[in-house]
Amino acid sequence: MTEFVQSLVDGVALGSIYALAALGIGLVFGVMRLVNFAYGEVITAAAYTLLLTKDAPIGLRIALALAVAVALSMAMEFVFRPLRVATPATMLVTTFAVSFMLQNIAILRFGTRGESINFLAGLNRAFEIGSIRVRWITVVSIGVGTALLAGVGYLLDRTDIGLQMRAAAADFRTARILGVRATRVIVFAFALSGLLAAAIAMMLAVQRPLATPSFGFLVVIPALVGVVVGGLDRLLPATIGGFVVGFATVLIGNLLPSESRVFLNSALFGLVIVVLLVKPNGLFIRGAASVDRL
Amino acid sequence: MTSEALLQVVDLDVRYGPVQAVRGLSFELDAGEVVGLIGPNGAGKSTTLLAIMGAVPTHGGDIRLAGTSLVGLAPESISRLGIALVPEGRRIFAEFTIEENLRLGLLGRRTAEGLEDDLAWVYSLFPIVDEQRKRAAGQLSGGQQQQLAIARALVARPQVLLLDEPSLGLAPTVVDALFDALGEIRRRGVTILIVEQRAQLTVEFADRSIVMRSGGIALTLSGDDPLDPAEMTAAYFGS
Repeated sequence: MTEFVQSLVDGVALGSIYALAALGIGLVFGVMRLVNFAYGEVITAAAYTLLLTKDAPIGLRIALALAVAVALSMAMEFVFRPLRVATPATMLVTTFAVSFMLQNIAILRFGTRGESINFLAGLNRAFEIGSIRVRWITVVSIGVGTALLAGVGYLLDRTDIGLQMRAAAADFRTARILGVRATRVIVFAFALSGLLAAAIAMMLAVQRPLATPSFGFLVVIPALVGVVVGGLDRLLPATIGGFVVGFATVLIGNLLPSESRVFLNSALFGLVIVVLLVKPNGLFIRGAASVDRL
Repeated sequence: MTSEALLQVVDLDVRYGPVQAVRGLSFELDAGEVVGLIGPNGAGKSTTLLAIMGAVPTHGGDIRLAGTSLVGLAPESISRLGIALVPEGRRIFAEFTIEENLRLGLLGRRTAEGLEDDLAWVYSLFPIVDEQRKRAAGQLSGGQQQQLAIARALVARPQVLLLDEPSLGLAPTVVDALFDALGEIRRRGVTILIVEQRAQLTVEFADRSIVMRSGGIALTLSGDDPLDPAEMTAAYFGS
């Protein structure tokens, strides 16, 4: 029982991080119908920034990680800009190319072995509630995740730029006809997703303190699974999908005996196949709405 | 080509791939004028409106608003220059509230000056838009959605209002109410270019009506002309 509650808590923490990644992917998909596979490299860039600023004060490290992630995400928008009129397949292949290019740059510059980031390692200490051990980073992940999700929700629901982003996501041409500036909402979506990437990198850097070229890629793949499971064309279901995948990863991981943990991803992807067979539009989309699939 | 025309379309060509949707089309609208664009399906009427709005690329000719060329400008820029389109099929944001739909319409406004007056006028024209602000737009009836789509265009205070098939799918009594409202909009001095399937209603309403066929002009009618069925048939289907 204790073990089960323990995995619930850990599941919520990883779920929050994957939910943020799903949101970052979904924001950009909404306004551009682009699945950015290179999103993981934005997270990786923020992690390397934390690594390179090891000796700097913590506030500066956080600020620089945010700045680098937002700048890289906006640079990607600039690279993808000519693709707005391209087919989804072309866009997808291009984001793959950017992803692999950035990963290889990281391999050339830093190697594949990984270097210790040493970021807020003290948050790995645990406190005990009864017989359950909760690490501080778990609390921080849940707190930061909830705050950022609420913040983005507020932005989308209550501000003018949020309304314009929603309009662009719902019907891009009509939004532009009414005066929504296409480039402005797209740049804003990329900047916001860059900000989320930095937050993800920081929370992960505490728990997985090795910066490697695939640091972000390994987060984005399961988050993307979550986005597809939840339903790609709606932010809330996509975000919940990301959460569910993170949560399920921990739960299944703890259920499997330790010698079978290598099958964790197989179990996860097996579940995804079942979900997509039963609900091809996504788990949380009601009815048979047509969806732009990959 | 008089210089005082508010909107000029000069020798316009629009192609979709190998298909020429509009070929060598020229016409103009004076300030305050109401012009109807009628003709069979596929004649290029909607394409013409979309081209004016910058929503489809043009391949030749020019479109000018008060002498300034609009060719190559983005729709969001053209809306800010004073042209508003009520698109075919209304294209309201069904999941947004009525108020949010109107807020999007405000983006095209060049000035906040006179906003109160304009809103009061739009609300008097379409009370539903004022009374049910927080309601999801998708819950409105077809006629009400059309009212919202027109209100959304009007709050931008356009110099030129483009209407694409506003009566499509509406019951006859609702269509009458719609054209009454369009009459009010005309009295306010808004220049109107209206694309319609209902030819007779349009010819009676407009100062002039242009019959398009195969991307060009087949016939021009003034509102005072009695509608000659034989002439119309010839214009629609070719003689």
